[in-house]
Amino acid sequence: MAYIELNDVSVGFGSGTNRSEVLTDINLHMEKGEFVAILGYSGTGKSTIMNLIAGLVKPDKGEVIVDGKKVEGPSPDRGLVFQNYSLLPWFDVYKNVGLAVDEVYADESPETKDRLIREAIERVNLTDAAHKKPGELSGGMRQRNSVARTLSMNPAVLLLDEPLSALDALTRSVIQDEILGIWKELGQTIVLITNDVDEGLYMADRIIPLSVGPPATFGPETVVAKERPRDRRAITTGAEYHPLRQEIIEFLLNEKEKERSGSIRKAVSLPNISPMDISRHKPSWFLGLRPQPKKTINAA
Amino acid sequence: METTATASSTNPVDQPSTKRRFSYNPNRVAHTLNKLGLGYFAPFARLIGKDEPAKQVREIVTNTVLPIVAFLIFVALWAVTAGAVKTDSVQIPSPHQSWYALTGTAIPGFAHPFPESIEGMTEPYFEENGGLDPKSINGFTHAEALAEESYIESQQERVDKFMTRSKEAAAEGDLEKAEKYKGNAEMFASKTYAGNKTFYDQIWISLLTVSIGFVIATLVAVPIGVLCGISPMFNIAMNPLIQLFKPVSPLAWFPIVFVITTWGIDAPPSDSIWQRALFTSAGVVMLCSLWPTLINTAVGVASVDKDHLNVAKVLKLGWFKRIWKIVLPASLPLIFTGLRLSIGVGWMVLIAADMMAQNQGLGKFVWDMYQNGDTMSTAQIIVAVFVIGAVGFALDRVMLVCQRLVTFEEQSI
Repeated sequence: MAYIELNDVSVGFGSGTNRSEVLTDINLHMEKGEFVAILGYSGTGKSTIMNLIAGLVKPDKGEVIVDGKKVEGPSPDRGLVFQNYSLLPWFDVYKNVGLAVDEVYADESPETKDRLIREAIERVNLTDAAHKKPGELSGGMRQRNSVARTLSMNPAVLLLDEPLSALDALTRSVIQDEILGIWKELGQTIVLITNDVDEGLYMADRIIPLSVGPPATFGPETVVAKERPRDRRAITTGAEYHPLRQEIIEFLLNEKEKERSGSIRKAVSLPNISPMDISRHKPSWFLGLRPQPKKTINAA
Repeated sequence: METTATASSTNPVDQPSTKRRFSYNPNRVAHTLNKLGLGYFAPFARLIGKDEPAKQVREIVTNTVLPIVAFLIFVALWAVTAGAVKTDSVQIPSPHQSWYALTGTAIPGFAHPFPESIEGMTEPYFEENGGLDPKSINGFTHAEALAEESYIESQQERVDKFMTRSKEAAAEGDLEKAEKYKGNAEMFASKTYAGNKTFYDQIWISLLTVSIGFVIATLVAVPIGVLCGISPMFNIAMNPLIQLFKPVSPLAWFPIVFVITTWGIDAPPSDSIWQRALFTSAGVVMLCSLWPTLINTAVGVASVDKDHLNVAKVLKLGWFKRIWKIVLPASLPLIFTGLRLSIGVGWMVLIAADMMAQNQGLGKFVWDMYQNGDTMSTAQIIVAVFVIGAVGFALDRVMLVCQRLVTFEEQSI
């Protein structure tokens, strides 16, 4: 039995005629300590997969199993790093991390909590900014803060929902290395959502592309069996990564082509109505101002 | 400071230099002034710091001269048109008459604004009152102070007299009589002057009344608003009541509040400041001013960023912690927007409520002056209008500062 399992999972939103399927027949098996990247166009349901594993969304069909137990709701064992950081702007770095530590290590002494918070902040190199609020931090520092908050709960599974897509390329590569360093040291099972093929090739053991929906499903996976640490230059220019990249990009481009040619049909049904002719309707009511006729004094 | 280099390798902006720590930073002072709602003084602060002096002078001149010119034009139009509106007993007071109604003295070099009021008056009439017309606001305040002084003097005389008698009786050995005289002296010493409320007393009573109403309104509106924001069911249930009572005039609430305070509050002694009328007035203020806070709180709580709530879910925060650490801080800016609107409504409603309840505030002042019905009294109403406006403006500024203090810097992606 795999460590993380998604078996025939389908999810949709809305109900009745408003219902739209987002994901269908999602199957994913991950071993403990594995690093998997899920790649796809925006708006195809990548974040929904994350929310499924995190327990924020329940599957309509199928099941999500982590470490042999069915996922029923969120748990600190599965740490989610949000795409837009989701830091609380009225807390500084220390308190944002502290919020998580207070909750997960509620029974520990204040000194232990303080140590855990400081360790998490230290791990993402934010010690000098520990008492700054998110508004005073750059995008990269905010994401580090968010990662520190998640790490402080010591999760066995790290769910990274496009954590780097809002950052500039230079900052992104720095934080990629930081995440890989943390993974190497602590050995969590990591699911990374991304829209950047190179990011997947650089970081992940496997890359699974998501088809263009709706409803979306997984395409054929690509195993990146390369030595670590990987060479960034080799990924962008080297020949060894070329076939892998080709495979993934081919799939994604085909998907886009399918959508454009209409073989994936987005059914939008227009309401079947015709305008009413109000001139033929005589109202059965009238608008009056006085309930009774006005009496006048008769002079005669 | 050097150690920050590693952490901020991706963020080289805003590195404080050690040099500026001890120097006057006009930018920072201006920023603080803006935050305190004193943005008008920001150019002065920059000018002191010699930050683009020419630009600051231009800004000061613009900010100062334009409003003054507009105000002077207003006063001129007022002065020209005031005399045109005239009934048998009253005319719309001119600016000079209003000034006189406040200060009790005419502006030198101008014709006396109330020639009929000084006709036949002898000089001592004013001299006894420090040169101020006792019918004016300041003159009346002065006369009240003199009256209180003479009252206290006469009481002191009585106290002294009885104390001497008491001592004499004690010397003669009549202890019973000595006790009795001593009791008399204590009785006179305990009396306080129960004179008329002056305009300035009435400003404070108005502020006290509006504060009571506003505090109660906040204590009621914020919890209900939070519940409305959290629970759509509760919101649906409350909505008709809120929509129904929100537009009701304070004059309609007054009789109902009056019944409640008469039933619930024992009549206090007449020299107490906590009169029933004060609570009636505060109750009306509360009923009219709680709606903006309630609605803004509900909207603020309902529109808390979904990501923040997801954080609460992932961290599995309990109900109370979720409200206290996430929902309330996130909705504070909107709550304070509501509070600012509420205190504005409350102050506006207060004048009407004071008139109806006969609470000794500015509303009663306006009412009494209206009952007097001469030009001098009408001029005092004009003074009251300016004071009501100024106090309302000050309250709004105080709330604005509070609002700015709780508003966190929004995250930008």
